[in-house]
Amino acid sequence: MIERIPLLDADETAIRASLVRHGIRSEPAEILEVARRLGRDLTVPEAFLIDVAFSEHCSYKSSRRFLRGLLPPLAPHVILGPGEDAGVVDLGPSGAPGWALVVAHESHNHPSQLLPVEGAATGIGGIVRDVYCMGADVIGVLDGLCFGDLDGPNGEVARSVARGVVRGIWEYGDALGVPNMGGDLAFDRCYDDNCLVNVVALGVVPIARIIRSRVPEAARREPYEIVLIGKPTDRSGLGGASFASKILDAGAADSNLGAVQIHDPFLKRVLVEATKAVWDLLAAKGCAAGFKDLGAGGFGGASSELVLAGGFGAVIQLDRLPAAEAEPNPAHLLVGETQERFVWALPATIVPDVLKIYNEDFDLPGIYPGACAAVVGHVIPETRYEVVWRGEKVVDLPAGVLEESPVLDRPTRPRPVALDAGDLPEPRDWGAFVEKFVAHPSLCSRAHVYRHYDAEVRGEALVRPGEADAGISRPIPGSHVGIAVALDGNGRWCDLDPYHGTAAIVLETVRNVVAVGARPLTITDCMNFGSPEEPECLWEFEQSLRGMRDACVGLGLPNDPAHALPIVSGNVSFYNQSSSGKRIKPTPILACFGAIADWRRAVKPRFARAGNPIRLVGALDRAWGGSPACDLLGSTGVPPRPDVAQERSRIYGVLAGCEAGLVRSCHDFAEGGILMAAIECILFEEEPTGLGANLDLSGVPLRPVEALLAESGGFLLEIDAEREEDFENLLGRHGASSLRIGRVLDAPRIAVHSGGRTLFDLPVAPLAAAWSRKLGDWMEGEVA
Amino acid sequence: MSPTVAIIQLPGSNCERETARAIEMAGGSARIVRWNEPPARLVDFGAYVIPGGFSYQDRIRAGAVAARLPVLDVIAQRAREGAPVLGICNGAQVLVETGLVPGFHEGALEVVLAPNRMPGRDGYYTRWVLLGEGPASGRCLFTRDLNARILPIPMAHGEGRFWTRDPAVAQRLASHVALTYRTPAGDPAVDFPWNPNGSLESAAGITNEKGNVLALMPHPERAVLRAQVPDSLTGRTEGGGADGPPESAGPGLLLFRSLVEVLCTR
Amino acid sequence: MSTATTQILVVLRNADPTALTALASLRRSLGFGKNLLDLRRRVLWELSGPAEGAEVGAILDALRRGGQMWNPNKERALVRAPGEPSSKLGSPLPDEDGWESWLAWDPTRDLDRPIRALRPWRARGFRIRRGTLWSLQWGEGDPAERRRLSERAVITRGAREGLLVHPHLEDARRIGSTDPIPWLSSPEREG
Repeated sequence: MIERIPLLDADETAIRASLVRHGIRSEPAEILEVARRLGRDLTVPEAFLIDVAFSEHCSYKSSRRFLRGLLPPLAPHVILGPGEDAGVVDLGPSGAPGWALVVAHESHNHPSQLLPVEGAATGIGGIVRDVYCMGADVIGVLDGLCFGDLDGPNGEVARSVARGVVRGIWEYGDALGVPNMGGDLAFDRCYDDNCLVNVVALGVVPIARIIRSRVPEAARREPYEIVLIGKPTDRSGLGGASFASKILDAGAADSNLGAVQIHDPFLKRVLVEATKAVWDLLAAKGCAAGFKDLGAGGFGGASSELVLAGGFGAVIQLDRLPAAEAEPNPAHLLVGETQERFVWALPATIVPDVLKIYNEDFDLPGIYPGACAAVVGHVIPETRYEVVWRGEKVVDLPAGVLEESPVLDRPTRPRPVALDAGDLPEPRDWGAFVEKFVAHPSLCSRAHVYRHYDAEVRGEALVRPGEADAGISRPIPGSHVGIAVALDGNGRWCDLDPYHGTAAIVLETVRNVVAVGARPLTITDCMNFGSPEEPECLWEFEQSLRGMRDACVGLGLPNDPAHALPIVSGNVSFYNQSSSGKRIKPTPILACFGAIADWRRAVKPRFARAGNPIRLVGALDRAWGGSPACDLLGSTGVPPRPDVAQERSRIYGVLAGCEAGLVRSCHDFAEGGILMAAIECILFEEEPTGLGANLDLSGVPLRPVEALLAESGGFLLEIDAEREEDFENLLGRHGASSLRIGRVLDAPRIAVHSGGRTLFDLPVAPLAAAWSRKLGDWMEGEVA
Repeated sequence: MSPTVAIIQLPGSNCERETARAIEMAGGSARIVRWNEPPARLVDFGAYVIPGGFSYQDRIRAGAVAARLPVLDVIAQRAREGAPVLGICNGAQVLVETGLVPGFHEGALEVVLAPNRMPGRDGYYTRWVLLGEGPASGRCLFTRDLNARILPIPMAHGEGRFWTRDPAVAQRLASHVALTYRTPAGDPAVDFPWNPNGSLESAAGITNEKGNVLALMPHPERAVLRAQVPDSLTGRTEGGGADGPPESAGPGLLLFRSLVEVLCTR
Repeated sequence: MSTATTQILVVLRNADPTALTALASLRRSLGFGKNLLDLRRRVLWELSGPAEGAEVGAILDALRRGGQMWNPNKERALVRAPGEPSSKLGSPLPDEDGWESWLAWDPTRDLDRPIRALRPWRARGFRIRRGTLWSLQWGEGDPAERRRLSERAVITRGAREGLLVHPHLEDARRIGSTDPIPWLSSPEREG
């Protein structure tokens, strides 16, 4: 007989004790409420299932009331918005009719702090599954990483986490064969014992072959079976979803043990190759199917969502679930988060063919002991979720219970934002300053990290990490359409001002895509915040959402201001703080996806021709709050506070310039201001351009040090001399303008003048050395 | 129409599709063949390519487990019959674990592909490198058209250092080097990063005595279009540097063209 | 000044995919079949230095915090201090009934520098060595037969002879519970 948890006749203390004993993290009131609705006590497996469904990670109970109102509206080219495992946009308007882009964005923060390698690896493993389960082949991944201060009091732990995470990402991504298309990396003391590991995956799929994460309508007319594929279920990953939803307690190693998830990208690769054969079979036979990846909540979470989302129910024969242990615990089988598994809802007629593909053609059992495809249940028309174990019904829940998770109305409370723009003193010794500046952890070359990542597998990469502001791939056979993507975050800006900081990140990530000549199609986000139980933290979250929404609405689409830039997928990660109570800086990390009609016309940031004018497009505000310059000069300030309407003119004006072929090279600037951007256009790792920059800031309405280091954002452009006038006219037609600030030099130097004075004139080589060496020395701990 | 090239999909291979495309771009025909297809079907192919990837997650040693699958027996037999066999990256690791390369003594494993030796870093490493000829270029069928060219080709691996502990083998190995890592100045590269892993004899690719089997660590199938070559290295490609047409043949196509030509003339 | 060696055996708490794959490959591809009952892979570290006990505790703490040797969230570290019995290394012992063990190590790797947590103690003569302990459990055969089978499984001599250790990468030897410590030798670095 299955164990039940006494609820209806028990007091709160007893209920709490029962729940803790079983490892269920929900509040007694939430579980009791369900029991009252059903009029009976819950079985242990039922309690686990509800625990998962109601966890913050799965139910978004603290954030839903905000997300409902504050996400921007969807646009005409959106096929699927937030709600399923991934977002989908139509690539037809971008020049690839019949094709769609599938995007997903998630976090894996807490597991990566405890187990950096496994946490990061299973983060990649999980995000690619979200794209595969839509029927799309993954064409790239990106990683957004925030680590602690490697020089600080917790430096050794932070260093160990950073190295482990990078290893987890390459071990998984390189083995699976998904190219890395970019990323973002930040270091700050606030992440010392709560790192951030955000992952993004993108894929393409013919629109006709999109598979939804729910049982299709066809199941009303013929029998459908539930088929589980992948690794046999073991004890790893128990309670992962609820683990992510609580504050991390690093001292509780043994109780965190269940959260250990074991990655196996090689098995995943075989599983994916077999699944591609199943996709082909389904297309050939014209069968409708539902396909979902197993993540939070394991099999129970995924299979219940799969059937209920379609308006169906299921009867699951839990005994038939392939198990790694001889005597498995039914609750563990149901909600354990063993990796590398998917669940199908398939018409019964096609099931034997599908089983053969997995079990024989691709020999899953030979690849990993116990791995296979197995029928574990069938779909029923009633919206109930039932699980049978050894002849007994151990779960019997109506749809309402699982779907209607609580929406919490937690309070918010404003806290001060930075208002004083402060002052930026001019460095006494510019040479010494610039050399320290380019080696600042926020600005130095990230090659040490991305050289662990395979960017070329699949043979589709055109612009790889380190080469431009956005990565570009050409994934559609026979087409010149390129897909561009960039990832950005800035916890320092958002700490100073969550609303403006987040808006500025939206603009920065869009600029990154436009800078290569691509049109932005959609944004995805991961909101990394502290505890929603702290009113000021929840206020930061709300403000950040508003900033993101307002920027997406104000920016709109190119040539279509009436429609907001849509957000089709996202994730909220709360409880990023340590048990000492310190919460992280608000850190929304955003990705922008775009398309370029002809990848042969992509623009890069590398200076091309000596003598060419360098022009600037941007707001030029006194915004250096949270910047590396502030660190080095001991200043304070405000983050960028963009005028989104103005930025729309500028950003889409530059896009028009790129599309018209008037831009020779283009680089967006944000962190590190114009100075860093100009240096990056000259510095390239192996073979420097041999060119340099001669800047004259006389025409800029800021003090020279402010002009060089302000982070208000914009573009640095190299225009061929003979096209300069055409470019300026085109910008003017978009309501924007640019300012000439210098020329490309035919020697590898960077020289800056203003008002007749030369601030500095430095050779690039020593800067290149400091810039490229820093991250490797710092992360490997070799700095003297 | 030349005989078809089998691209062997091992459990964990991940470069099979672009490798098949490279053969087709070179004028040949290719088919992806799973590791567990019946041996009788496997013998009919004209040539065999083991593509890059992470077969068996590089467990124990890269390529060690896959090298002991039955499919490698068939490939070894066909190699002895003179069929062209190319192993790229993980495929190279597999070939070295079967002893087909360098093949000084039948069945012996005298050379290993060891973890990269890289100052200041460990694990996986990716970069574009410059490949030039070696003493065996002329007799290796894949590189017989190389001559004095330098090819920018990307590498991506963690265990790519050709190594042996036997000094006699090390000496003999030089004569089997079909492709070397080069510095920008054109010399064989000894030091990191232009020799990315510390390989003996600057070896990027090793061939067997007959020259029909090549174990190559860098990935030519990722450099089949000029557009794929990084801007900083396009000056080293044929046909016009950075301003050349983006979709013209890239430096990696040469190896595949040589293979297809050999197949056509058989 | 006498030296003493502390052994630390690191064991995964959950499944070991490498061991599972190695077992399957030895059984199927290399023909050892069902007679090979089980296979374990564990990492052995040996910390040698001046024989002062309290110091070792502090060093082990630092090594654990540094995260480069083992992560308590996924691994257990079994510590055998100088003079303690081999049973401290847990089960299976290297030559427990039915088991045969081989220890493999890379003689060319200088591990001390990369292990940052050890740096404060290097100057005082503390050193770290690392090896992989492969343990194979056999069903049938007398001890001599099991010894022979193990060597054939461990030492890679040809395409179908051996798997676990490649002689051109690592040194290896059969190890018994009563073998004198240290087990990992590095003659070229002594003195």
